[in-house]
Amino acid sequence: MLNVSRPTVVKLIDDGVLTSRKVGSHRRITLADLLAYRDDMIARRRAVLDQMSRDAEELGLYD
Amino acid sequence: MSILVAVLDADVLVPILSCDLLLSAFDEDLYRPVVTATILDEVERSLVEHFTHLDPTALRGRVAQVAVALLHHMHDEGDVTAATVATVNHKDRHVVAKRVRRPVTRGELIDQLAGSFPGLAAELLGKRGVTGSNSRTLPYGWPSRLAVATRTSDRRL
Repeated sequence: MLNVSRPTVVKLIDDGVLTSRKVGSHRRITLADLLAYRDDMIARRRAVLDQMSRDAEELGLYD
Repeated sequence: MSILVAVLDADVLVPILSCDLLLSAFDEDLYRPVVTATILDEVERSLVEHFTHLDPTALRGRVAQVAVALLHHMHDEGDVTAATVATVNHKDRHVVAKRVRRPVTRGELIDQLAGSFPGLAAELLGKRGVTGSNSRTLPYGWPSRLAVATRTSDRRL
């Protein structure tokens, strides 16, 4: 769902970026939290990619 | 769901069109990228060497933007071999650590992607009806930023 590796998800949880609770040995993340994080991640990424495109055009990198 | 995992070496991140296309494909979740700090250092060196007429600070800014876009996909150097990527992502069926050869035109780039990234080929060439080297139009549904990049479609990169 996040298109990141399993170790990355674990790191996000350990860093407190994603909230989880333990059920036995498993970590559980609420769907709402996961979707909110995903939407935020995508929005930030697209903003950067759009800015990259504008900057590249201004610099003449496509010429 | 299994997803294609691909190492984005400097060879594919320095040509601007190649970089834009691959990052856009990643943004559409068509594959999972893997990069390292060393790869991005090489991208920075190559950009500065190639675009000698531009301010190196601006080119370093571009690399910083790539790093932000690929946040969560930076791996330690030791992880990035075909074998260890397979280990890191042991649940993924398709692991590809091939380089895309330096593209010449957009059509050829699509052909190379088709050869190197079968998952992308199915997505770009199959569902969207793009026809490799003969393609001269922007495939429906691609992000608008590619419209800028593909202005150069008939020029040599």
